[in-house]
Amino acid sequence: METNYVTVTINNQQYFAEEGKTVVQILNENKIEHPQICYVPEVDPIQTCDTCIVSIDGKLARSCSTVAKEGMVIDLQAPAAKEARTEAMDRILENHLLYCTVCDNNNGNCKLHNTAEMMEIAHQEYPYTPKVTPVDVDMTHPFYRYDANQCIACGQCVEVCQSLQVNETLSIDWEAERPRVIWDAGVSINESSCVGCGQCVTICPCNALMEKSMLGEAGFMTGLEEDILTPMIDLIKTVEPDYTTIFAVSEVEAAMREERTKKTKTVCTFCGVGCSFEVWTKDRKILKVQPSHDAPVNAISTCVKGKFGWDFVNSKERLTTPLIRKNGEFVEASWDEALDLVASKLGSIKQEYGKGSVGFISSSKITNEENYVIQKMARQVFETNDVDNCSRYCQAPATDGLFRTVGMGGDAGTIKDIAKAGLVIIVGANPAEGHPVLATRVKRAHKLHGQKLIVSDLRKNEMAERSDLFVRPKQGTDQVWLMAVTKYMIDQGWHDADFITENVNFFEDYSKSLEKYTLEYAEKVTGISQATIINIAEMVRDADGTCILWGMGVTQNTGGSDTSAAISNLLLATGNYRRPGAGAYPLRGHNNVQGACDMGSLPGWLPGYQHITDDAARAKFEKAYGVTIDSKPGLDNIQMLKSIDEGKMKAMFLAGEDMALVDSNANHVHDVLSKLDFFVVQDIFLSRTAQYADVVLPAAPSLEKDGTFTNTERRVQRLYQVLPTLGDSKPDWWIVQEIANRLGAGWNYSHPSDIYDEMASLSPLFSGANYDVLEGWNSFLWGSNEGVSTPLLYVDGFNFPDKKARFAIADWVLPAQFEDQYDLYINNGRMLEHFHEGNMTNKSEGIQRKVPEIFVEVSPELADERGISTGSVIRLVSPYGALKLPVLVTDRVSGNELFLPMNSTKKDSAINFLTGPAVDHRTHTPAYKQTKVRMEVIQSKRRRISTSC
Amino acid sequence: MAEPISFIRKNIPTEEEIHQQKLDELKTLLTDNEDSLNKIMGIVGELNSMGVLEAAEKMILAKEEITKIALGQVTREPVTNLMNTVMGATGALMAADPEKTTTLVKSTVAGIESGSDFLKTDKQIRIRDLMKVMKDPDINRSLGFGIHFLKGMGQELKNQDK
Repeated sequence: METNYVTVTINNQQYFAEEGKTVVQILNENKIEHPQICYVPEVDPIQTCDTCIVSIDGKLARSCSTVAKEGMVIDLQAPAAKEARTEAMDRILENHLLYCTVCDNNNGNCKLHNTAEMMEIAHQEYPYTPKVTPVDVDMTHPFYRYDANQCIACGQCVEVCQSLQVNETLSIDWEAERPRVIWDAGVSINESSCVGCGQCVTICPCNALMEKSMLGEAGFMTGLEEDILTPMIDLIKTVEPDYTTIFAVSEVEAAMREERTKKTKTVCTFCGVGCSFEVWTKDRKILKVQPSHDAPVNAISTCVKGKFGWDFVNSKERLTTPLIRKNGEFVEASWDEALDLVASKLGSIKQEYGKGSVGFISSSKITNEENYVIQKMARQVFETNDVDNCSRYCQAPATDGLFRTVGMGGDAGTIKDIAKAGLVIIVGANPAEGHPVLATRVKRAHKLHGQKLIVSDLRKNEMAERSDLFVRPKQGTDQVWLMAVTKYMIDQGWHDADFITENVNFFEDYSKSLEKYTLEYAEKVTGISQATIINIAEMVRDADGTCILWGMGVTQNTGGSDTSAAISNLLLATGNYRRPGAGAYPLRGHNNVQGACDMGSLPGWLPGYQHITDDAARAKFEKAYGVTIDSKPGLDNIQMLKSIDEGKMKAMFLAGEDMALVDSNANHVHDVLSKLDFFVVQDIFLSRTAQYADVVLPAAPSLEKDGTFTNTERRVQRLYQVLPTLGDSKPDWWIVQEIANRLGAGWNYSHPSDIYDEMASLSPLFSGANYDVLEGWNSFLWGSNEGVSTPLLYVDGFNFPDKKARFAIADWVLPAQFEDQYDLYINNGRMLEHFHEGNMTNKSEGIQRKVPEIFVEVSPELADERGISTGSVIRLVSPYGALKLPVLVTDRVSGNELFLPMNSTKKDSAINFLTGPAVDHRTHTPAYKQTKVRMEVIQSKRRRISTSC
Repeated sequence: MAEPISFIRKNIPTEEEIHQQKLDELKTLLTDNEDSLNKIMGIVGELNSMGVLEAAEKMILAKEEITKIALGQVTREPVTNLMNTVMGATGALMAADPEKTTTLVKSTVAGIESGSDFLKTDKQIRIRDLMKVMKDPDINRSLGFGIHFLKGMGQELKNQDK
């Protein structure tokens, strides 16, 4: 699209600007200092503060909401404009007590302080008067507070809550004599619908909304007792010095804080969205997480975990020293002792039993560099392709579906494309809880920009409630309605015939494969009415770009790969690739599930998606590693467990995954792990899996190391070491190098950048990036075989030799079958507050306060039928195990479908003590979602259940 | 069968080991910084002999009480009035033209000297004398200054009232 420019005059100087930009944007782009307290780039102009007023062609106007026009004459210094701005600031200061030096927000970035100083405000016209009694500060929420007496009612917090986070909790009570922010209808923060995303706190231009972790900690004098602090503030106010004096003193104090407070950029570890932000620390104390407008994915957005859920790094339960199993207990050991033992045992097992006797499981939580060295250790030192990662449990089917159809296993575009789409279809995913910041972009586009939303899910989650069309197909039947929609569109001639001719192979064969998927058949199999299927087809037809987002509601099924391919087929048939605002978007669950796969921690792929059967690629790695690499794909997680069970695989090295809890059929996994001759686990906690180990090596979490993560958009971002490692714990890459070198590898990596450079030199996809390219907030999106950063995939054709995509042909497979006694489906998934099985977030006191216990959701009709209510206790029994759980009755679930959050590490409530052995038939990802149980009522009487839901 | 283990036998150092470890760390610190430490010890010795250390120690111990007392004193109205007066006067002086202020101060000093000389003479001033001295250019200049001083002051007072 062509960009037009306008010429404007600012303070007698000419500037060129893109058409459509506001005056304040032009000022900021040209680094012209100008007040703008309520301006937030991420949302529409709020227009409450009036500190940005300028003279435009002789008239006063707000620079934040005035779009620049050709020939505009803008005068910042016009006396009337200056007077208006001063009046605006005077009115603001009527609501805010300036006690900067003893304020925890005086850290050099207080917008109110800086603006008042910039405007050279010496005195205020209207004296400050409190709105409420000084004790009326809302401290109820575990993570942040609101002080109405410091609030300038600028509305930024309200705007981000309403239009960016789109949680719609905060508003300003304009009816009040002194307007102030309220939560819902005026309840306390903790009783409100607040999801704790913290965006209001981040954007607050003063100290009205503050992280509790900052209070009394950020400043040198802010920890003073109230009976000293208050008289000091009173003294300053009574004496009424010129504000320039107050500012000067507070500037000195802020400069001292700058020396003490360490601010380090990191990338979040709680999901695949890839939010980045600074972490402010004082020694090992985390003062706060501070997002930045510069962050490429999230800007100022966060979720409750990313903003507040980092306590686990300082947990007393952290492993801080190597452990060796001796006589039925773990005994602390030195690194040398532990590493020597690991090297000698793994080495001797390989020597005695040969290749395939040692398996490797890498992690989607650790860095790219760490994944790379783990696969390298497997392939170079142990000469095996038996290496896999946690994506086997979640995203492998999505990757498979994309490889078969479009040739690359990644999201077609970026989150900006999702926001831009005319229609978003979410299938079997709950991004409002699993990918919260990504979900906000959909919620915003849907609320403000006319985007349409279709949700297909068993459970009425938040996105379903917001959708234009919510469908509840029968469990495991998404592929059928997707194929029926595609067939109907082709039958109606609504497909994009030109796109298909130019870009896609096998259309005729594919069309034939759809014959069976009539509206009648789809209605019968899925339970979705024919009219609804037609409605979906019409919405796809009418949309200016369709993005389909999917998650484990699709992938964790016996037909997960084929359903993923069906999604991609629908997009190909309708021309929804190779253009902005369209395409396929599997939502990667863990922070680095994408990167773990990219780095070759897979049995069939070398780093950079070079297949193990590709002779040229293998030869390149063989030369670099100095060994012969087997051309046959190795074993995946599931196959490795089978091999252990059969006595073939004798030892296993596992990093950062709680396999004993997250693999399906946990009782079986217990039996298998117990059979290992030697088991090494690297983790930050003594996880359930680590409890089976012979040697446990204490690893460092993301905040304690350098490296890179790759998010769901294929975006590679650097994380910097925020804290020193705790105790004797070490980064995973260091540990792996030590083991490899004890077995003669001769590696010499001194920093993760050395590892990245080696990986990039062998992987064309990554060849255009290095740690300099990725410096600071910069990022790189893989997607070009020439190593060019590629936000939108397939612009130059699909990733096949003829540049054409391929329709994947696959019939729907019947879900796993159960005996009639197992009459209830048990679904599982994430809660907003917790990450995965909960090993990290269950160490956060605040999160535990919000969601202290697990529960199973039961539909009102099923509750009636079984005579239970919220708080009843039931036992759920599957063919593979049983759980005992308190009940929460909710219409989020319907009929005979149950939902169990997956964040439990306890044997009586963790979902995988119910799940079974069924797997996706192509990738072996467990069909966790295809689990049926019977219910036994233990206690029908109500008991109190603590949950924020 | 490797059964899961959740018990960790920690190497908890004995009191003696902790003591020894700290002593070793201290020894290293002393050896590495011998010169600096000697100087610091000398200064500390002097301060101690002067009684400064003891006073500082007690002040630190009583810091909260002392702060409260100090705050109690400085927040009394006469003190805050004084602060405001001093700050106001300082502000006014800061706003004045230094050259004019210097001239005015010099003139005032000269006037005081001249007035003092007159007091030594025991002479009396009569109405006729006043009429006569009006013609003296020096006295006329001072009178003009005084009259216009009163006018300026009156205007500012009127502005403040508004």
